[in-house]
Formats: sequence, structure tokens, C-alpha cells
Amino acid sequence: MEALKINGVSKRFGRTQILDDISLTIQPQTIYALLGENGAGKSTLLNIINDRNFPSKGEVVLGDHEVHNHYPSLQRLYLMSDSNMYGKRTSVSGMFQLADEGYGHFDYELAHRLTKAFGVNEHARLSNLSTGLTTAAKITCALCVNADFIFLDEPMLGLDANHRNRFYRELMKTYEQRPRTFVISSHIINEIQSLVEHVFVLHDHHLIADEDVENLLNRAYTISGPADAVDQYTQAMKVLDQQTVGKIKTAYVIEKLDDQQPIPDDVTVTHMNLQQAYLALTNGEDEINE
Amino acid sequence: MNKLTVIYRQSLRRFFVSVGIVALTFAILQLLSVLMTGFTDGWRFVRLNDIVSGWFAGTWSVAVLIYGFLYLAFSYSDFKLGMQSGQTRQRIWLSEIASLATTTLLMWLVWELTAHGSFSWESAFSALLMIVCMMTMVFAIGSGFALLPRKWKIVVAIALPTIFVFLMIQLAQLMIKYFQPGHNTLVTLVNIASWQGTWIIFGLLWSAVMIGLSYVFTMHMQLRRD
Repeated sequence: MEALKINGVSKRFGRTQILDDISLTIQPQTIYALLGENGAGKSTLLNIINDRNFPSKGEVVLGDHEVHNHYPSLQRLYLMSDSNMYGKRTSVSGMFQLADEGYGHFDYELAHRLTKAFGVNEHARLSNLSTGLTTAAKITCALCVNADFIFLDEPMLGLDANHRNRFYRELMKTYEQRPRTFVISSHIINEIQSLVEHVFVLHDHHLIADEDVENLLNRAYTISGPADAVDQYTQAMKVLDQQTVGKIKTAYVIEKLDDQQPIPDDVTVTHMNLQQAYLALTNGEDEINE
Repeated sequence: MNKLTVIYRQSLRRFFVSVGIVALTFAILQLLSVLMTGFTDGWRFVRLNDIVSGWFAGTWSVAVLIYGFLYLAFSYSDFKLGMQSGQTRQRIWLSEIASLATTTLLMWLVWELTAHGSFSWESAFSALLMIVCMMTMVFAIGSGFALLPRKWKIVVAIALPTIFVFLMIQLAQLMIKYFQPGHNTLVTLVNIASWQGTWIIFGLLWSAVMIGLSYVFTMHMQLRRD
């Protein structure tokens, strides 16, 4: 199956630069996380990939074809977002029907099961549902639609812990049954860490990380201990972020540690989780820029 | 055609629901009117034929307005729905044109079949051309408006007619000042204007330009941030 390539995409809204020369490749049958602060351009990027917005520069290519105005390509992409794309009177079942008419082979069986599990009334209008239930209905549609690349923009918006947990389990279940690509844009990083294989981080209009989660976390370290010892140990490293509480200092680095350099006895080195790595990458970038 | 169904069906559904609401409203109003006439003037004045023709005339005239409004107001909704359904802009436009053609033909057929007086192909064609000109213009305006954020829609909705009226006045003043045709020229102009072919050519050209504009506008539609 072909990969989806984003080549040098930039986007400006008036004088505001949203994205600057973003290039990345989205492989088939992989689960990605798209991370970034509010206003980093995640939704804009997803809208551009799905041809809802035009890039100011660059292109999105699936296989040999540019996605823009190419029907077979667009039929393989599905974007679930919090934008209201349906009419005011559209019901949950109407949304499923539209996805079936648009993409074909909609999995109604799974949809009925999921709406029941989420407690969503299929006859209810989308506009009458709460934020959480609207998200649940949209998630259901996204998991049942017949597309190869599914983009989920804030799929946990308004969902309570139970519903989020159910979503993660259903996502993995449907992925195992029919592997396809999911790109999840979210701020709830800790919860999606176990789901995603690869991560993209947008920061300050640029793509600052494009890496397998395992690789990233393998070289993402928290180094803590007495300030002097930590400073000495990290002297040759690029410290992305640091915190000092009393005499104890914690430094965050994302690089391969030198096996030859002995770790002092009073210094502790542990691996970061995805959220810590994300914060180190984005905070570190800010501090470097400052 | 199967692949055009999402927007096409949605558009037709919207049309029939709107016409249905109008027809039902007029039926209720007509019934109330009949009851009032019956009670005040006596039931002998109530004629079934008048009731049906009154109901139809009312329904049709309001349906025409609504039919125009649908294509003026729903271009952006159709675009969003189309994009959510994996359609291209070109297919969205084609679906809208197909639904416009279907509803136009339907409205025209109903009108011609129920029109009082003698039928002539000439007048029927003129009526069709007039409806096509109007509807393509409404569709082009609707597609153009879909490109604008809410605030700019209001600005343009006020500014465009103002500019149009201003230009017309200027043109009229210039013609009065500088265009003083001789008798023969005037006769020729009147002949051209009174020749039906002129209006047919003008109507076809107008429709083609409007369809072209709607295509350009649709191809430039984006998800707005408002």
C-alpha cells in the first residue's frame, strides 16, 4: 500500500504563519500521534492533508497522485474533527448513512455496537447531543468508515475517563481486525502513549520531531540528583529542559547517552514517558529560542 | 452518477422537504380560509376547483422563492458535507449542477402542466430559459458567498448591489450624454432587441458565464474558520 507524503507544506492566514515547510510521510497501517500546543497548526495540517484547506506552499501526495481534487485519493482519507461538517438536522444514523454513501461498505454492525456501548442514541440529532456524546458518535463513525487513512482531530474532546478507555480499546480492536492508518491529534499524551507507534510534534510552525515512539523514548532521559553532579554529568549534552528544587536538579535530555561516561552514584537516570519527552522538546525549543 | 449521490440526494431531499412544508402550510391556510368563507358568506361560495388552484398557486409561488434561496444559502453546507464524505470539489459542483438541473426541470414541468391558457413551445422554452438564467445566477452568487466569512458576506451583500446600481446609473448617464443614435440605428437596435433569438443567445451566454463562475468559486472553496 502507498504512503501519504506531505512535501514542504506551508500555510499562512493573512500575515500569520501557521505552518512552515512541513514535510513528513504517513505510512500505511500505522498509528501516529500528532502533538503540538494549542495553535501549533495540527488541525490546519490535518485539513490540508484532507484537502479541506489549500496549502500556501507544498503538496500532499498519495502514491503517485496529488491528493488535491483527486477522487480515488480522497476516498481513502477520512478526517474526524470537532468542526461541524453536517447539517443542523443530521442525526447520528444520518451521519452513518452519509459515510456509507460517501465511502461505501460502512460497518453498521460495529457502529450499532459502539453507539450502544457509548450510550449514544442513533436517532438523536448531532446538534442535540452533549459535547462528549457528539465526540463519541463521531469516533464511532470514524472507526466504522471504509478508509485507509483515518485522521482523528481531538477524538477525546469532552469524553469522560470511561469513554476514553472504551475508545482506546475499540481502536486497538478494530486496528487488529483491519489494520489501517490512524493519526491521532491530542493533548492527552499519557493516555495515547501505549497506542501510538510513531510521533509527530509540531512547534512554532515547524515539525520538530518525526520519530518512532520507541526510538524517541529509548533516548529520552530524566537525569536528576545534586545540581553540581547533574551539571557535570550533562556538561556535554544538550539539556532541553531543567528544574531545580532546593539542591536537587532534574535535567531532560533527548540523545543517546555515552556508554563510556560513568553515571555518578548520586545521579539517577530514568527514561521519560511520551508526555515528558514532548514537554522537553517543546519547552526546550522555547528556551533555546529565548 | 452513483458517486454523485451524497450531495445530489441531500440537495433533492432538502428541496422536497421545503416544498412539502410550503404545501402543507398553504393547505392549512387554505382550509382556514375556506372555513371562514363558509361561515361568513355561506358554503355555496366554496368551490373545490378554486381551493385547489389557490393552494397550488400559493405553494408554487413560495416554492419558487425557497427553491432559489436553497441554492443561495446552502453551497457551503454542501461543500462541507461533500468534503466529509470524501468527495472532490469538482464532484461536489457536478452534484449541485445535477440537482439544480433536476429541480429546475421539475419546477418548469409542473408549471407548464398546470399553467392556464394555451400551451406553446415558444413560451415554454422562454420560461425554461428564464428559470435557468435565474437559477444559475443564484447558484453562482451562493457559491461566491460560500468563499466569504460571515462578516464579509454582509459587506459584499450590501456593497455589490450598490456598485451595480451606481454603474447602471453611470452607464445610463453616459448613454444619454454621448449615445444619440440615428433613426436607422435605433430601428436596428429595436429589431435586435425584439428578435427572440437575441434573448435566447443572451440567456444561454448568461447561464454559461454563471455556471463557469460557480465552478471557479466551488474549486476555491475551503473550510472557513468562522
